[in-house]
Amino acid sequence: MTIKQYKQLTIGYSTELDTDLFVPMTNNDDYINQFAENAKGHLVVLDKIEETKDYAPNSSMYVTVSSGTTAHLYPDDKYLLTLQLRDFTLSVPASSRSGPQFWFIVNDMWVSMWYSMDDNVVDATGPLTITKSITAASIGITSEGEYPYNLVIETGTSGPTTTLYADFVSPINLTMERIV
Amino acid sequence: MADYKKTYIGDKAPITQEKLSQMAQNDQYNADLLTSAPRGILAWKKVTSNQVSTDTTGSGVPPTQIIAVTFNTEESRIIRVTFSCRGIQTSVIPNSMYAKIYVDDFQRGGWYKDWQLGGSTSKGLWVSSYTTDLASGPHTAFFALSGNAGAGATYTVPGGATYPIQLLVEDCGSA
Repeated sequence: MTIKQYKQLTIGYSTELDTDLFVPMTNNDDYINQFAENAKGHLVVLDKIEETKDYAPNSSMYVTVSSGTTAHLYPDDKYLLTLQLRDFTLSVPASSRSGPQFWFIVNDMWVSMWYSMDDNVVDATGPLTITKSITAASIGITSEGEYPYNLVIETGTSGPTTTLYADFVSPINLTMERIV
Repeated sequence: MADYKKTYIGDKAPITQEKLSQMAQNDQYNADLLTSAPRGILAWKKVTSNQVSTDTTGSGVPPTQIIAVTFNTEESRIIRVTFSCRGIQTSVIPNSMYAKIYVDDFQRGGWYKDWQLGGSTSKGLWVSSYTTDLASGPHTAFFALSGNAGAGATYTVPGGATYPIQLLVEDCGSA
């Protein structure tokens, strides 16, 4: 559909209610619809975890923020997934310091990763305890419809517990935002 | 909300009640879509000088404001408040620091554990908080800072022309 430019219309007592009037009116509707359909930046998903939880040691721990969304995603459009953590504590044995790693999993595909090992090292010789605050990461994805998405934490170790801190005022946030 | 349908009116497609009805439905469709769409940035502020808190209450109550903005919103909107800065410096390393985003005296999020002693600057901070329960009308968002290092301690957010302290309020669409 070719969209014509918006045209200012004036209707007065002598205006004929004919096709010369209604054709540009329908064109104006199409013009407005084009912008309405293409509005960007809407947060179509806003999920939160609002309680602190310990996660048992394992090679990978799947922390489900949401198992899917019923929000309408426009096919082939791009969305920005953003994850924000208040803070977390990881304890990693001295023998295994290749992790931890944080991942997004979208539609069974690993799309982003970041990790940190250099923050607030409490004990450099024994188990390594890491605390990190207000961490955020974003990744752009192309929509193919509805996505299941998860936060995955992988310590790469059989070490002790990982704690993700969260509460009502400082939740773990996951948002999905239409960008293109 | 009925789907938008192109209305064809022309020499071979006369004006009918059915087509005028479709036009009215299309207008409603557009209005609903635009109402739910994001309104973008509602307020933004930057500060280019150091902001210092001497609040040693630890709990951050009452909060010491580092930067604040006022904004207007309608109800049932997704509001995102984002704070960013170069980092936080402390005169004494505290056991706890409280770096929080507030909207109207109600804490909406924030916590911080990466800080540096003295003149060096810790890692940059960028944090957003989301709320969907604000009432229609004016509101104030602010970022507050305190620590529990005891009396005389200072907590500084560095600000300058090339590293401003910023607070941003956005409307991200209908909730």
